[in-house]
Amino acid sequence: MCGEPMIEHRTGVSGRAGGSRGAGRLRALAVAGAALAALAGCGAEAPGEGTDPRVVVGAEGAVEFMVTPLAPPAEGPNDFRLELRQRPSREPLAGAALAIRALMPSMGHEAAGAPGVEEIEPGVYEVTDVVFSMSGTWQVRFRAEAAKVHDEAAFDYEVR
Amino acid sequence: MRCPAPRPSVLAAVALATSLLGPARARAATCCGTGHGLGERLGPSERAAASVALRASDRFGAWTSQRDIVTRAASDHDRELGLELGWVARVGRRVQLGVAVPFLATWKALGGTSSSGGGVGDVTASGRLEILDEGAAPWAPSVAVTFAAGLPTGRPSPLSRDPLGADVTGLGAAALRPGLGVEKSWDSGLYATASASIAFRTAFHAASGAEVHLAPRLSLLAAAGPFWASGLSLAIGALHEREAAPSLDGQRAPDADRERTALLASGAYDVTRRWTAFASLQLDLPIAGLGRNEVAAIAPYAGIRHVWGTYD
Repeated sequence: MCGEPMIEHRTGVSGRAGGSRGAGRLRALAVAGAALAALAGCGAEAPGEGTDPRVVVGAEGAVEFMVTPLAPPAEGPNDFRLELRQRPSREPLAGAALAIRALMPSMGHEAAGAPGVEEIEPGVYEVTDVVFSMSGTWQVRFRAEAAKVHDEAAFDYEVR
Repeated sequence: MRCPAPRPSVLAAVALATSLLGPARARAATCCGTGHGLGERLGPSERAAASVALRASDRFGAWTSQRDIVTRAASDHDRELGLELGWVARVGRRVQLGVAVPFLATWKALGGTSSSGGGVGDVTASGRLEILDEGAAPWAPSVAVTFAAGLPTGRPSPLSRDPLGADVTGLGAAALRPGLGVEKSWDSGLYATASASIAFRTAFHAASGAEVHLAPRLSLLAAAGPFWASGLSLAIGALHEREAAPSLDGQRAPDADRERTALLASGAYDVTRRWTAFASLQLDLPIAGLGRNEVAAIAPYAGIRHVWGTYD
């Protein structure tokens, strides 16, 4: 079951990119019961380590973020596949402008440089060159903006 | 019983143990605000001292947020070489002031990407007030209040232009570090030192603009060893540092407390009455449970110190 995409219950992201501080706060999110069961069973609060896809509903509740590392997160450049769906319709969110940043909360520093983003099919994006400069827990924050939708979500990874 | 006057090699070894064995300047995570920074120190008959030292560091792993140890990939490396110039002078019978200026060079290769960088690191100014002389009583150690100020003269992480952060040479925040040090030597040829200090860092902004407040960092150190009439001194000890999680835009990061434990070994030799050579090794103990959210590195260090006597 842990290999299946999980919807995670996230709170407390304080990203400021592209909006006010207040808008950047993630609020407690309601998630489906079945997804919660999967979440509990797989220890979703622990940082991700492998290549399992993980799903987080954004802070605004408007977008579902599914992120898949293309390889287990490691020091150096890392690539991710990001799939965005609007809620509640689950229509792919195509043509979104993405802002991505990685930070290491324990050290209080962020990754240098801007990752590359390419939409490889409607609502599916390949994010490249997210550089983790040391091992430890990193948080990757994604912010998506489209015509009438904006939202953001954060994913923790244990980088080895 | 008269307490022996400390030999220059003992002073150098104590200085190593209390100031030079734990600085961030030479560790692989320059950006991350570790470091003891208590500064050089002088003996009773010394008026001033200057030192020059080389420090290398090789990061071999890290402690995770779950306190496990992970080692870096065999194909990766994260190495640093630092040159440190130090100066300390007595400005009164009980007061010493000093400064240390580091220059750093870093080489990294991570995940198939490599880079290098360097420059001036964070300058440290230090002070020492001796409040109790050794020998006041046969059993009494010397006691001193120490103070260090880290100045953000290095390049901080938010200003880095290198994806791997190889050009980072400083924390990006000022640091004030009060502390207390005790030392004791015996006629039998043994000496011991212990110190405690706590660093308070100013807030800084990450590249995205997020305001980062690092929590105070506590450093505890103890070392002891023998010294001989030939001018040789040796010591072995341990260093433990810890700090609570930083806050980002006012929110405390979960599971982000930091902690590390290192083994220290040092030696010093009085080449002449005025010149002392010293060397040390700091090894972050690669044992699960002894650290958390910290890099683990091995850091050899070697240098030479010249002193000017009170009556020179």
